[in-house]
Amino acid sequence: MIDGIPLPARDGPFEAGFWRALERGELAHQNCADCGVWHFPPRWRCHCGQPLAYRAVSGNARLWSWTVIHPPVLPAFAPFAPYPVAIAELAEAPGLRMVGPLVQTAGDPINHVDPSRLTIGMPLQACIVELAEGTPWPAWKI
Amino acid sequence: MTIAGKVAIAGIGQTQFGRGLAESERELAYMAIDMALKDAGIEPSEIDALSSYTMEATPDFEIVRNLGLGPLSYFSQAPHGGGAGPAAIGHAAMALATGQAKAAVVWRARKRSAAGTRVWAQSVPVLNDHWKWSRPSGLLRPVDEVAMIARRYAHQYGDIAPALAEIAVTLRRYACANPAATMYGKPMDEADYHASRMVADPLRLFDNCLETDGAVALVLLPATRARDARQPPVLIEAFAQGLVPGHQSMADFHRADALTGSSAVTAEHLWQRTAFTAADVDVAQFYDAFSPMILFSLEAYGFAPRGEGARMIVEGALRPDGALPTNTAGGGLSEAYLHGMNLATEAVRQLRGTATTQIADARLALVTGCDATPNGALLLRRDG
Ligand SMILES: [Zn+2]
Repeated sequence: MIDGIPLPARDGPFEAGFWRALERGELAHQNCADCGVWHFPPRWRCHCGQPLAYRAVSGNARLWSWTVIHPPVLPAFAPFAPYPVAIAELAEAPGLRMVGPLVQTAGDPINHVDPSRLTIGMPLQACIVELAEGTPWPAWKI
Repeated sequence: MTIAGKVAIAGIGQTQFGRGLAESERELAYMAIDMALKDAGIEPSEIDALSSYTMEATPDFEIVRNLGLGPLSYFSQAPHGGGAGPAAIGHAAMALATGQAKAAVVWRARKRSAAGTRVWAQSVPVLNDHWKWSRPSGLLRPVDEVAMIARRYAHQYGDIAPALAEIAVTLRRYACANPAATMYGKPMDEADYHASRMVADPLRLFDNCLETDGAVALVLLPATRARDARQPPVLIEAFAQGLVPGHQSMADFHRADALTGSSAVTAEHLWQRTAFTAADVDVAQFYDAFSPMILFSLEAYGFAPRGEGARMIVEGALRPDGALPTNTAGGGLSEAYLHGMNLATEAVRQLRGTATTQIADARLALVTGCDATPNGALLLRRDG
């Protein structure tokens, strides 16, 4: 949890179900009942034209890519730099990807995981943490 | 209907490039436009069209008022930061080709050399745009976003570090031959590159563009009129834009094939609009906010198959005697970072035969916009 980070507005269109799930400690994404396609970030409707509903995902993912961020960064992140950031590809679908911090245990600071332990394709597991107070988000457990 | 050969770039102008310039951003814009008008031999009052970037800070009416242009009959702005350059020129060209206007100015001015002026550093407390899905996790800067794609690319196609070093060193060598370049007189070799500090692993300081104060402007005329103007006309052979479905600007991680971006779409459109092919291009000006964009663009525009661009680069393709001399004034990495507008003026100089590193008998030049945003491209050719 870091004070002073840029926060995601949570009143955006089509995303209420995403945030409600996170508040319950679950990760959910939009899914099309008609064609089965998963979508993130949230959108109006499926590209097949059908409506979308939020469904819980497994939280299983693989490391799609990562970087290690060195200064200069925004002041809120400066005490943690250098720190790794991941893109996790969720098991549900290719392209269903999320940016998030890496942890060994929920609650670890964002610079806890040593980047030398990272390899693309390694399994990750979502755990819901607070990026800032009142801002739940999936971190990725190695 | 095509605009091929109907419009020419008839004048170019640029201020000094550097850090901490005394003039305001607006004054820099006026100075560059004034030089472009004089280069073309066109009176300010003859200009009836303006085109620039949505990120341009100087309003069009101030350009008109301060330079004595107009009256205007066409004014336009192209979106997406570094993706906008070719479109700013292309939109003006379409206006001239269709008779909506008779003479156009395209410009870009920036004062970005002070640290606090970085766009990413001006982050708002609550993010409403698509960056809300990545920035709160600490992925803050454009370089961080490009680093993600670069690492994934290297995972799929092999080590790109030698290619990125070759890009940075080659562009610096071009800048060292160009007295206008910010990095003129500051040579850099591969050891310097590898010794530069890491910014967003695997990208180092010298994989990043400069932050520059300066301005660049171009004057466009219908080709028939440009042939009577002061400079040899440089014709717009083709113009295209592209936006791949599912794309999000810069943080473009959510498509199944995230390594095939909007550049591939733009390239497809561009090559559909001309009889020329990639093999005909004599010199390329690839948008280079970050070095991997040159690698990705090289492949997207068809100069190398996917996954083989790095090898082509390491073999020296980007050098003056290489298969595709690239960013021959130093580019965004080593000449100036003006959202790519200085790439267009360098293409014009190559086709006029007046570049500081002149590619012999350059007849066809490609200019591209930012690979990581919705973007555009121009194919320019020497008249005759
Ligand atoms: Zn569907």
